[in-house]
Amino acid sequence: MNLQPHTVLKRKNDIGLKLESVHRLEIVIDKKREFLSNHALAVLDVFAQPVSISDAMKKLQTTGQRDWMDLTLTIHKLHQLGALYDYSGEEFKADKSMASFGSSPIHIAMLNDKLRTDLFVHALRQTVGPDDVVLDIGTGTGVLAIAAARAGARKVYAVEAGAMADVAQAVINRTEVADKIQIVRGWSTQIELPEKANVLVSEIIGNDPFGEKVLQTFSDARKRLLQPGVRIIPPRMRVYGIPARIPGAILQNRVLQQQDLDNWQNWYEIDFSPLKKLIKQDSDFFLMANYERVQQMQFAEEPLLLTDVDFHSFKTLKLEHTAIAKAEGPFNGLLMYFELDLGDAVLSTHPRVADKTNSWVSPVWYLPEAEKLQAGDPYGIRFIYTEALGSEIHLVEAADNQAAGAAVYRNS
Amino acid sequence: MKLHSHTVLRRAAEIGISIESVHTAEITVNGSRQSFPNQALMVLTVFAQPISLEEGLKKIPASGAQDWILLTSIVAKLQMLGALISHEEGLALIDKNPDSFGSPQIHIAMLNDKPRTDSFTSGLQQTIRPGDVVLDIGTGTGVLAIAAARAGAKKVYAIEASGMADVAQATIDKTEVADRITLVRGWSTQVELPEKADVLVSEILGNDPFDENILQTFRDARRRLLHPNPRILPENVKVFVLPVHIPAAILHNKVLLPQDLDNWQQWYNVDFSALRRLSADQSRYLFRANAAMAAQLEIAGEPVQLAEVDFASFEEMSIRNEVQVTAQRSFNGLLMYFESKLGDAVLSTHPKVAGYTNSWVSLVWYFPKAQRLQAGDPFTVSYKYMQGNNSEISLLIP
Repeated sequence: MNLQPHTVLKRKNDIGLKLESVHRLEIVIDKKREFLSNHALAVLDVFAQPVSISDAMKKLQTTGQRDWMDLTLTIHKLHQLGALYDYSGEEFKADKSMASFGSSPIHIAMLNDKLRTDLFVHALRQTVGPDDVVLDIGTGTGVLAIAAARAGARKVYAVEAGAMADVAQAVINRTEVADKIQIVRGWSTQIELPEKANVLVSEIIGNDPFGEKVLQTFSDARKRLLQPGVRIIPPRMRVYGIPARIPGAILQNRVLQQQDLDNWQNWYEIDFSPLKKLIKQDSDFFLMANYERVQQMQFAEEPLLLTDVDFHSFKTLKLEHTAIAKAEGPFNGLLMYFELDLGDAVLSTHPRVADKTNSWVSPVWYLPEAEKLQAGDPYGIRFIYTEALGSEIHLVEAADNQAAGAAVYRNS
Repeated sequence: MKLHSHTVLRRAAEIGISIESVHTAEITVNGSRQSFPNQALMVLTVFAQPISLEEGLKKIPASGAQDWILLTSIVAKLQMLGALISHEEGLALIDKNPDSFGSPQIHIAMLNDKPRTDSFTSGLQQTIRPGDVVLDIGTGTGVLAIAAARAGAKKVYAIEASGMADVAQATIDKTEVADRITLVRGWSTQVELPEKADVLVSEILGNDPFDENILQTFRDARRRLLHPNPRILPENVKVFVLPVHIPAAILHNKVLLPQDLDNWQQWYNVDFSALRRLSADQSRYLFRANAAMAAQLEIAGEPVQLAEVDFASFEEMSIRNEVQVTAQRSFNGLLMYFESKLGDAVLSTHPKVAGYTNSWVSLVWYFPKAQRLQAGDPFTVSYKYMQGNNSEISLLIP
């Protein structure tokens, strides 16, 4: 589409922005990242309401935002990215510039994660019966909506807020179950459905398992979109932490090590120890470990159960638990993984179970204090999830008697 | 802290914004988040550079008193949340994002990149004459300011806008040249110096060498902060791309490969060819390769020089170039690297030259169409850099 001065554009909802520096803004849209100059913020501001490009330019220029050329280029770029779309009155209209969103690597990786998809399909087959109305939140490519329809559902509502909705629609149209599936564009928390569903299937489990707001989304769906007695896939998720040894190669350039200070003294004849003050070497630091990084780490035998969420009945959006255990030996990190119940199968991202095809990466917290623990020493891992901060992990002290009790709890 | 009309505020370095709806944007700072009316975006734009509350508010159009009250309350709330910080206070904050320059991680990696630091230090030793005044823009840990003073500079002004300024000061204080280095807090484009400098040293070359705004920064420094005919380190930058073959293992799960569609048809009995519509935008780089990943790319041709900027003399803030190349063999990607002259040394981020200590990552563009090129076939690489944007590369095959 060619942009003309009279073209009316509007800002898309659900844009992530990060101000990186004075000059630079990182914009995240449909999991694609792009760097733009600072005045893109002002442009996004003006296009909050539908406005023609020429009117928007007038507004922007009165606020002293750069020159005409820069602004035009930024508008053009935001439009290409899909952050601004051609507005014709429909809130969830597909973005025409979709083709420029770029490939969606996350959807490719999820489809290539055959185990993940197979287990969800398996659970749908065991759960869905004739006359069921299924709600699929975050359908993405549509793969689970199609599986639900094939499993016998009378009707499937497949909710998708991103531009992937167009792909899902095209994919669904080529299947034999297209007439049973209705794509609903938007966020599940903002839509209404013509009827309540009695099965919910949704794979919005993030790398931080709660990071895609599964609790908030399911809680809203239970209240507004689902019948009492709904069956939910997955019904249950257990989140674990497993003590890990992060090797020096991974720590290099991520945390300040004494070896660094020694090298620099030697190389540059400068004492850089003031850097130490700045580096709080505690649970602030973590990394996302993909398969290759996980292979470089060593793990304890026994994981700690951090939380066990029943998606049918959970009440609160805040989670908090301290798991107590006895150290198997010193360690310096904690890797978080989860298990999902799917029909009679369990999908696990345990580092020794998940293979290369695992489409999740696992958060790892750096816990240098745990280096001091000896085999048999009691310790605690405090897990907190809040909407504002996501999952947090802290190493805490524990007494011997607590650890003994904890072992019984874990084995029961 | 109480806000006054003369309070100078600026935006925190790391802010997350999620535009949730027409009317509201959710702003996250250091883990706390809050919803704001839409106008908060304009406020954050204006306070990108330190500016007094009074002047900042003047820059935002307000239609009437009501609007003005709303804006003032937004500023106050942003300040309470930590998204706007008082100019002084902000300098003590350390950014947590490992990719941002306030964060310690990037400085650890830069100091560990000994070839990088050594080539700057040797450049300084060759360039500085007794009595010189040196300006170091973006001093970070202070390492180059210290090297400049040790090389004989009479005076070094070391500029640093991030919280690293505190580290630099403490580090400098422990050296024997502390009395010749003055730390200046702020952005070079915003500061005034008591005297002009003879030598500029500055390592603000990004992964895309221009993405830390080196052109804007150097041009401003030449105009305001340096004597005529200053000596500048680095002296120049040359931007190259290298034809590479990206193995399928690296492309896997980054782009849609034909094998994917076949597998999914077989596994799920679903035709996902509609995903083809979302093919990668080839003007943008596909991924950033660290040294380990760059080593897995197979070099498939000679480097192609796309741009050269002489820092002492350039005037143009935008670069466009088209280079005709003859293929040596087929390839499927272009890797960007740069070279900079520092005295008689050349700093290169070419993956084979820089090796594993390289603190820069290489940007890699994916051009599947280049796979059909054979030895002797012509192709054209087109390069574009526009002020404030990133480098763009496209490949034209006749």
